[in-house]
Amino acid sequence: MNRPILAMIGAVAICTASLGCQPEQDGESTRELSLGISPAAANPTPKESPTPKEHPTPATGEAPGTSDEGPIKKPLYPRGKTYKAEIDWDAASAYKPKLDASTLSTEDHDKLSKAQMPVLLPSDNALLEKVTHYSVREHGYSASLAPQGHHIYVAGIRTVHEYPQIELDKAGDKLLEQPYRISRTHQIVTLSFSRFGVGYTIDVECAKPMDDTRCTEDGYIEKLYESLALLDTRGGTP
Amino acid sequence: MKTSKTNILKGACWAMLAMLALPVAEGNAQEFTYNPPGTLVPGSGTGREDYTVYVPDMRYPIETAPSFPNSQVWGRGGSQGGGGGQCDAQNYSYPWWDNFCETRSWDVPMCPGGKGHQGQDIRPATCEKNVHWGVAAEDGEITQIGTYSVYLEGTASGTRHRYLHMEPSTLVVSVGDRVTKGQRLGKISNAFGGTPTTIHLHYDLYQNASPMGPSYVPTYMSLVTSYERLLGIPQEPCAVVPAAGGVVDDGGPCFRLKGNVASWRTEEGPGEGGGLRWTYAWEDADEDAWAEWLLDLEEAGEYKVEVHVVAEYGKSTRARYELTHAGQTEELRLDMTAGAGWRELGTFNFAAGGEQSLAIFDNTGDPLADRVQIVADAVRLTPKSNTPPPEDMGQPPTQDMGTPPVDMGSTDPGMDPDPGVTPDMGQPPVGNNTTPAADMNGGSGGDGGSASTSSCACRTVSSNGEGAPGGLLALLGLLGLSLFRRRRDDDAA
Repeated sequence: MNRPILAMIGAVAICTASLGCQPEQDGESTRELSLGISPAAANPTPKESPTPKEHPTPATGEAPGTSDEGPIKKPLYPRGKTYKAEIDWDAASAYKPKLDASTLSTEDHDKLSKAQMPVLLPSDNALLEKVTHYSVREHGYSASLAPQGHHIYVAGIRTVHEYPQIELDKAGDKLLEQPYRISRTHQIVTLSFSRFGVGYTIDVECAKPMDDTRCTEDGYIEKLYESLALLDTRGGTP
Repeated sequence: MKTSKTNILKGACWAMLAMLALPVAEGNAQEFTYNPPGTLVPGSGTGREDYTVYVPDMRYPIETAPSFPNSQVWGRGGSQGGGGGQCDAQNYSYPWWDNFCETRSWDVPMCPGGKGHQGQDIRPATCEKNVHWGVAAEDGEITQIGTYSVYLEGTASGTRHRYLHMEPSTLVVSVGDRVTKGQRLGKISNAFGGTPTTIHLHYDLYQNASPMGPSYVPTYMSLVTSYERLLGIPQEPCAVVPAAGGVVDDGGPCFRLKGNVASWRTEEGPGEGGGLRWTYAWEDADEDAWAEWLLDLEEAGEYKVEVHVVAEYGKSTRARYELTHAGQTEELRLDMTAGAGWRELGTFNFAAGGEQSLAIFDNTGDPLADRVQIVADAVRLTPKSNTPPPEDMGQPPTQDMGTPPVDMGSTDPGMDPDPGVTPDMGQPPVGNNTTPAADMNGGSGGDGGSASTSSCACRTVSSNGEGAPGGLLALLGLLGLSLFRRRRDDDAA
């Protein structure tokens, strides 16, 4: 018996044992449907042109590259530029609230002081006690927290990847006008924002993602965002 | 559908080896194919056609091939997949499908409508959980491990790589660990906090990306290129133009689509190298789409710069180029309708090395409503030392003019057949495209005649203008040649 057949038998056996080979009830899409997106909305909106200029009509009537045969044009790789963002230290100095440095161990404080950017952390002392790891690196910093029933990740990113070729449609541009953006995938909530010229992110992941309002609703992550306090690290910043 | 096929023989060898050595899946025997970025499973939303490789040197995040990025929700066994089971062979076959912008209701600025999935679902080789390893995409630090997530902060790129659905009990890394590219992290499963999902790796990339700010960025082309490396498909570097000159084609790695890349169209067949790109010009002050040929020269010196025009796709009388050479940038204009084949932009000084380019822009001033096409095909550089000196340009052409100079022989065995930079196969006499040598160079130009040089590009020197004398001399030479030919023709009549 050849290997493909063996592999297939093995896969079927494992699948049968572990999954019952039932159609998946994916939690993510179930969630989407429960939020009012019907199956009919799977193809949601008319395609918006990403730019004001109309795209030329392909001679074949198909999108470029969709023809099945023929020599391929290698994928094209517009080059991005990478640099460290200029930090608005004056704005950082004026920012309130400031974090009570006494809530951090000397070791953690020294570590975070080496971050080359303003460090924002949740101001709730009870949460800070649940920090499992601080990381400081050339590109930024992060704090991993593991409170009961969920995980929180707070990070700052100083390194900027500039992509001049990127253009957004109106909806995308409008999102950038907001003070922050909230996204989810597989119920991990991400809140992204820019401040002092650099980027920050908060993630919340729940042990029971479909049942925990900290992940199914925006309120919890928004409160975390509002609670962020600045650790005064200017003195130790290169 | 795109076929990564640069070397069919290697692909076949790979497939044979894979059958013998790897955990077997039907996909192993298949040739790797992928849909273009932005092409989603039908019905699953509207994608973003984005060829950008956001993490150019990353390692594919699953240890072994084959692997199948597609949709786990709109695939068989998914809640929108139209029945069947997740182990359906269709889920474990090429081509790949992008699902970065698959329908979701969450904010993703880069997706049409500002909503999307923000990552890529990837099925491993077989429909088995806790078998296939997820591996570090680059050197970095494990900074977070959640209930079903692993975060890797890349040291080199400053990118956050996130892996979801690995089985927690299989993880071989801990928070704070430093990992190296390719190092095993954990086994791919369907871990999702007790919520059913298919066996897959959700993989996403997060960067502080201008102009969006901190954002998830499209993963698809980074996955394509890293997968090609995993398969051993050669990655073509942008090659150096040899001292004897050469052709930089749009089909090679030295060519970049820029700006609104989706507005460029590809035509297979016509043009140098068997294809070309075109788009419509427009009247806006700013460019919408543009393209660039990177010019990395082996030797400094003066080079004649020509672009290849195919009449059917070159309709602008004022195609706009910018040539960056030896530290200066000049705007050039070309009447594409004045002739097809190789069209001269002028002669310019170049430095040795890179940081030099020719770019074509769509903001020519032609009204978009007129549907005026501009074509981006190939650029040819010819060292001035290889062109007849200006004083010779007035001499009557002879049969010998079609013969390439000896030192430019196209059969030089030492010449590196670099992809994308085709060594010049012999320089035809200026103004004479009817010679055999011109046919070799001109590809499908085929229109013959002297159109290739009878209308030189207009040029606006935007810096110190050092390139002007060479171009002026060339222009004078051309005028002389034209006058001579006209007189000869008159005499013949």
